[in-house]
Amino acid sequence: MNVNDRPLSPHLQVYKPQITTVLSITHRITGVGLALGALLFAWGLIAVMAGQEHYAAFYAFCKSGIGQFMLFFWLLAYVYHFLNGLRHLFWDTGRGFDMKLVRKTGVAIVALSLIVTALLWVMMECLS
Amino acid sequence: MQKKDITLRSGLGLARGHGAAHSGTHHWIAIRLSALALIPLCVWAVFAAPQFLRDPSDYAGLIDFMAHPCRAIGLLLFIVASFHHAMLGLQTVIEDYVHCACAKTTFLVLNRVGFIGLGLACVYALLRITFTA
Repeated sequence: MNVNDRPLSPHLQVYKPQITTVLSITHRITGVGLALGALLFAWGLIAVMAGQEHYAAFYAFCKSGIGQFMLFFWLLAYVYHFLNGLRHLFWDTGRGFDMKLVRKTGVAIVALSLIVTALLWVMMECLS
Repeated sequence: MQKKDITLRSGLGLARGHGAAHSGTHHWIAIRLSALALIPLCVWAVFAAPQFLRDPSDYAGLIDFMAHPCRAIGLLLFIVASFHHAMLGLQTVIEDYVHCACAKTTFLVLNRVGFIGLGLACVYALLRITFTA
């Protein structure tokens, strides 16, 4: 049988977005974002190794508008992926699959992500 | 057991379509173990971040700070765990969304080469900072 003749399941677009599906894809999107952020992390580490003037360039980028914008959203992705990752590990123990509970933990993760990110951002502004 | 004894299909025929044996769970377990390792490492990293990202005028202080054995080892563990986790995660994303076999293979190889290369560069930089401090 030709691969193209196989019956297709309905396309994703026909489904109404729900908290379960939206948080699931957000976990992947934040994961990809964090992975791309590894480039910035590597730049920072290599800049420290390369010397003071290289580190100063990296630091200036981080403190620039675009740098702060990237760092803020990187932090938000970091916190969300961390908290939702805990939720995934909890599911891996075979618990928490009741639909009501799945929605509740989902809402909690979104709220906590925003609060924790805000607190951490303020902490970093104060300490640096 | 009874069923297996009476089948006329060969061992290969039975195995076909069931995926490669022995390594199917490796990826699943590795991504979760690295996630577990990243729980304490990420908490430490985020709270230590302001001290790492300090003003360039205190460059010498930064080097001293990073060269401390506990922080250097912590950072080393963070690099290895996070890069490994990122590589495994991105691999899943590529496998799920890139359908063309040629592009998929290319991206999977680039993903592996990229993260191993970048990870080793980070480890090299960190060791050099530590040992020349």
